[in-house]
Amino acid sequence: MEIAVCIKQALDVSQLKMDPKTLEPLIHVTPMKMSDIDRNALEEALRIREKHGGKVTAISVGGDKAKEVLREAIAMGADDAIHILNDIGEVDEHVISEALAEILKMKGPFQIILCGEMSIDKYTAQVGVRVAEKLGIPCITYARSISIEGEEVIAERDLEDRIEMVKAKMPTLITVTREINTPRLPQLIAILRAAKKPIETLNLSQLKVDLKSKLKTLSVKGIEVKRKGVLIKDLPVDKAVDELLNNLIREGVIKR
Amino acid sequence: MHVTIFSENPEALIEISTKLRETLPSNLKIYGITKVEVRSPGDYGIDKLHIIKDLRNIYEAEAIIEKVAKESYSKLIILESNKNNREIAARIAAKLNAGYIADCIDLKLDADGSIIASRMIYASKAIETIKSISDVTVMTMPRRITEPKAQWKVGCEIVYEDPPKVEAKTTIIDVKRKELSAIPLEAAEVIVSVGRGFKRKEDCKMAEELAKILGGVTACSRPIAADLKWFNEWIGLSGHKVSPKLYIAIGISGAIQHLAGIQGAKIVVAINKDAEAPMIKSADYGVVADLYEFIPKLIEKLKSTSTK
Repeated sequence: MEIAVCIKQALDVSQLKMDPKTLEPLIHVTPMKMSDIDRNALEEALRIREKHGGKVTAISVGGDKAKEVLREAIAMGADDAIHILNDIGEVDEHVISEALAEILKMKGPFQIILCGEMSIDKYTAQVGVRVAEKLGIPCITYARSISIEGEEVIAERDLEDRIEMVKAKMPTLITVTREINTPRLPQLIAILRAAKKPIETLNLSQLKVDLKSKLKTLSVKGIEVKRKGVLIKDLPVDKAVDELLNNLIREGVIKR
Repeated sequence: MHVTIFSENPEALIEISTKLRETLPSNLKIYGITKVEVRSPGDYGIDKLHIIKDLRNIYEAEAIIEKVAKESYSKLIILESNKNNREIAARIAAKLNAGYIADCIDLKLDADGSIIASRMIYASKAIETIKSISDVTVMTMPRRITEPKAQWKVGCEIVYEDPPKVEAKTTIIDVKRKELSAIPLEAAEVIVSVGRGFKRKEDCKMAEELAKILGGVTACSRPIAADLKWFNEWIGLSGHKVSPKLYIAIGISGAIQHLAGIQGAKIVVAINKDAEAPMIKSADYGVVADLYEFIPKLIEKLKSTSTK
């Protein structure tokens, strides 16, 4: 079974700080990491390989640093990694999907392509679906479980009010949720070995695809959520309860 | 400008049409698509409404949206934001080689006539403003971005149609309904939310009792639902985004994704043993206490005051 996983190196949003004066997000000092849900997708790919045999190829579009997440993918157990080096600057999801679809065609055929349901920094949930459409293959979104039976893949889609069990003929692209598994931690020896493994790199500008973005980011502004930050501590429970209730009554959110 | 809008839910449809009438120039023409009757759609600014009662799956929805958008020369296609619609929107955008702006919360036209939209990114810590340079722009729009207003009184033509015949690439073989909160969390005025500080599932009864006294509902953080499965739905970026008058987080550490889900809350109370927990720091009132001592006492006091 040939399995591909699309991985994004995303901004580690939990470490993002804003400039207190301008509210500009300080992106250049914020660390990057493998988008969490893509890590689940990779884990699922490894589990499918362990059960059904085959090969796992990790693919990422990004700047030079995106190699880091591909090395991590290899350390976790991916057989191969392909880096599409973004050498043209800011691009939108249309361009990213065009590039991924092109590489998947070039290096395929893959029976299963996995993606995270969305990235942890931008949350647009569109690249996986777009790639499937470009490849003309079925797409199953929000999978919280995947099983393979013969030529078909069966997945549970986690929707707002229901779980939908769906099937599709392979090749299929599946986007997964964080609930699907708990990703493994790479072993130290595997990390060291991954550091030596060559990663195939192609330049985005060299791909014969539409490289014109349809969307352009004009600005990113931080939002300040102002909370009062009143601390009720070091009080006997009785007093702490009174203190809280008095405040909530004063705020008019509970009735006396 | 011509716009095609889609939601299975008429309430969402009239919110979107209202938002468009409020933000775009008056030469607007809005083509709506939905599954059920909409009360006086013209009042909400919808010029033409396609009602497809037997819409069965996402592929039929996609096909009808594409058809209406094409026939009406729509430059903008907007779907109510939910999981299935986000998939449909992305696929339509891919087919049209168009830009897709997910979860758009505001929009306007630039001087040159192109669409400018904004959306939340970075776990709702920031707003991204995006300009579309796409021939057609696709969007999804979350609920409650505006109050529906019946003040435009355009004449609305209503057409009933059968769903288009399309080949589905995936087949649904089973559907299990989730057991959900009786009041949708988005509409709750008071939410008492439990986190990992609770040691046993039975202990959540305390939270339920507190919610009942305050006329609210219970909810939880992601690990409680996704990992421990004590609840079916959670609050946070990947779950429900809520805006109650009062949000009480008990034993919740306050991961950034959780905080992003409660940005709309008027007053946030956090109860946590750990004074350093992000939840305490991001609350209006942070109570540093053992929930197993504090909550029973709080319930007792509330009960005694309400019977006075």
